[in-house]
Amino acid sequence: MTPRKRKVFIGGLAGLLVLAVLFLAGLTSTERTNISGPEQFVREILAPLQNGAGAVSGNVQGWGAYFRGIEALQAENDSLRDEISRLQQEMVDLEEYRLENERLSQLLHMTADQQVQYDYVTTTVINRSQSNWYKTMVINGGSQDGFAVDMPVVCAQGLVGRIINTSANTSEVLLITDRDGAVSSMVQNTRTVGVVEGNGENTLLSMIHVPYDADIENYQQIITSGYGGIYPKGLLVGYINGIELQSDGLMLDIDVSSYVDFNRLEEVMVLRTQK
Amino acid sequence: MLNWRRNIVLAVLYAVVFFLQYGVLNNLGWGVFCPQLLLFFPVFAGVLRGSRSGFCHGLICGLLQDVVIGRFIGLNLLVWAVIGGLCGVFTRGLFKENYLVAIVSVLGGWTAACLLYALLAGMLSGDFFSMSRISQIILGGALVDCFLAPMIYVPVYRSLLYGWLKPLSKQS
Repeated sequence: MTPRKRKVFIGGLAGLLVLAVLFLAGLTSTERTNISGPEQFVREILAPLQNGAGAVSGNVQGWGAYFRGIEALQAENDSLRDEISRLQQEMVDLEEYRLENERLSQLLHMTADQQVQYDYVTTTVINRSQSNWYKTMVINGGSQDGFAVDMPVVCAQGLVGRIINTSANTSEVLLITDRDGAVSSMVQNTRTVGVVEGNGENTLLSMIHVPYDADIENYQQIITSGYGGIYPKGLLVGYINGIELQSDGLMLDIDVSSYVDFNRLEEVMVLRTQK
Repeated sequence: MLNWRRNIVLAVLYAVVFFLQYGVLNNLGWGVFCPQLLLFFPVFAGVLRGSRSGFCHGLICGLLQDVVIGRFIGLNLLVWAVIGGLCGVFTRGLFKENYLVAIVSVLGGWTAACLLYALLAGMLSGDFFSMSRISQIILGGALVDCFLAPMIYVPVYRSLLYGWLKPLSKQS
């Protein structure tokens, strides 16, 4: 083979390989319910290390608080935060019951409720994000614990995300702040339906597809609508933090703030479908 | 014998850096300011050993990242191999003893890798990352990695010349 032909051959082969790699990347650009064996293997190996790193990191932060002499204040603050979160969730639940009761009393022939029942399984976060580009986290517990793809994940402050893949002992959760983590939601008081999505940059959310004449105000609670079949109805998503009319005048731009501190999540609950 | 020792040292380095990166550093919650230790393999291999070596190290590092991240498998492999190769091409005639070469090549390599990844991922998914997100990631990573670059470059350079990473010459 002449040097020129050899160069053309190598160039062609490299081009084909690049195309093959891009094809593979395209195939795996969307969510995959089944991750490959090597990926599962690597995740299982990394899980104990990540657990340890998380614990050490938490301990170091704890020592810092101790030396600054604010440990007691921190504990009190934490317990008050928990109390507020619990009461907020209780308030949302009660409001839901009240509105549901009103609607049901108007409907004499309502069909039986077919909602799926869930177990709340508490687990710990072992890794917050593997990449700067995506908003995901890894939690303890996988297929061996009955976790499966699309199971909702919540914490005391509200909705966190959903499971996108599992290995035997770990699960990856797509946060609602990711660009692909959109949630069908509604304003609790007015039942205005829209889609809450993240921008992938920070923890801010926005609600889209809401018409300009929707009857909404700041600080109203946003809950999941139950449409789409992944998230059950009534999970707390956040509250309205700003409303603007889009430039075309047809739709509203609604800023939504979540009660969840996504950067400091340590424990979450998986809504495991009851068998 | 020298090459065996070199390969074993490289394998151990890869394992340590990989577990440090994905087992510890990424879990500390530093966000975009988390150092990208794997980046130093293809960049420094490209600078010190030429574009072919940079390309090969880029392939390995990219593959390791792809396996962990699990999205767009093959994209990091492609991007980092290209960056490793380009580092070799662009630093061919430079005076390698100067550690400014390391800082500039890490800065250039990281920026190009982020831009290329964002472009290709956007084209493949049809949903491009926002420029503010891309610039956040580039600036955060560049700041930390450029700070670390001379600290890592000097021992690697010495080791390549006199130490355990010294390759076996073709004559011997």
